[in-house]
Amino acid sequence: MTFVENIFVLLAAPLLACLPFVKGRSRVMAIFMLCGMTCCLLSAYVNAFFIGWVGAGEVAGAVEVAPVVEETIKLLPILFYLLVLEPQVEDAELAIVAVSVGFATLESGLYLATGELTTPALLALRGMGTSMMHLTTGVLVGYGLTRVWTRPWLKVAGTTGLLCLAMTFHGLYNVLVAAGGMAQTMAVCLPLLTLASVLLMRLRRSH
Amino acid sequence: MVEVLDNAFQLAVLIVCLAVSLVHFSRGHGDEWLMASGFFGCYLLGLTYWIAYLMVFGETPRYFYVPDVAWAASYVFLLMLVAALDERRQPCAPVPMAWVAAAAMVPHFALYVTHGDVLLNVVECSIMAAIGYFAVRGIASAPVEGPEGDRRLHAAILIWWMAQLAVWTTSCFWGAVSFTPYIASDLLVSVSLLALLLEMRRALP
Repeated sequence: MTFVENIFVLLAAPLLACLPFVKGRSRVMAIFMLCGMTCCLLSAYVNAFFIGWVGAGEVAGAVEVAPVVEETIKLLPILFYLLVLEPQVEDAELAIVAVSVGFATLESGLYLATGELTTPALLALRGMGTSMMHLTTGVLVGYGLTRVWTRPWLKVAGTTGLLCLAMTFHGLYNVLVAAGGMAQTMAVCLPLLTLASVLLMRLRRSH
Repeated sequence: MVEVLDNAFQLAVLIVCLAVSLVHFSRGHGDEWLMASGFFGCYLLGLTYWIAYLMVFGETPRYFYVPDVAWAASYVFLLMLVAALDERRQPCAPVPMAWVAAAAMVPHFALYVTHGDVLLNVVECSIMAAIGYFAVRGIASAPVEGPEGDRRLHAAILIWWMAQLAVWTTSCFWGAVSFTPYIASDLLVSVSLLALLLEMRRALP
């Protein structure tokens, strides 16, 4: 067994073990966090395949290939949930956020295990930047999906549009991180500001 | 320098359009504003990625055109908006001109496909054909009496549609080195986006 699978097993085992003991939304959360981790593992394989196939370097792979592959794979369990199980809007939103959290958790675990996160700045970039970026794309897609799935004719077009939105947001974040310096700070701020805007908008609409 | 100014102007226009759309949506003015936010937001993201990539790497993406994906998404959101506007109107008689607008995409597609990716052009031209269809149908079928907001909104969408096609077509023949027809049509896109926003404010609840 290789390195990536070891970390996946370590992080996924407690979540898997807790499933018989939790019910309702907690179980939905745990199941979709597991799905998110599995998506992360799959993305590692698929990314490596496509990067090798097109002959892209490490940076080009991160800014051009990874956003497309990761966001597409992240959406698959959600589409299955929406198409097959037809959940309530709240459950669907929770599932989408849980997939993103699971994905970000395993990805952060992998980075931590590489031993490259040696400074507080790198830890902040990883924790407040990349993890938040995954959460942000999840929240954006979730919020959009719960609206477009209310009308049958909007389902396909809306889902495709939201997937493209997530890919570009992810790609833009990766480009800014690759640039380094001030752009990296902007990259960290981008998901945080977007999340804050979404929260603000939801508060305003609920009042 | 001309390209920098053009991109900066379009970036500023898109930020204003997105901010206004989000404010309208957050005030509960209807899902049409969510689709408008998606349109302006994806367009903005695509342009930002494009500019950021150019600034960081000094070239355009080589392996996968992420900005084109964002622009395709923005067209999808606009298509959803015009389709939603069409759905809320009374059913009307078929509009032959609408089919002409959709069919006009065929020669455009034939030109673009010789300069770019086949799959991407199939997707983008199909969406643009549908937008053109709904825009002309909206102009023809909006009620003559009463406020004409809806008709003018469709006219604004059609102007943006033509400007966008002009950008694609001119980009096949001219670059962005000086004030070329490509830059002129890109500026027209920016102005038409502003006009679209103003008409949306007038027509949408």
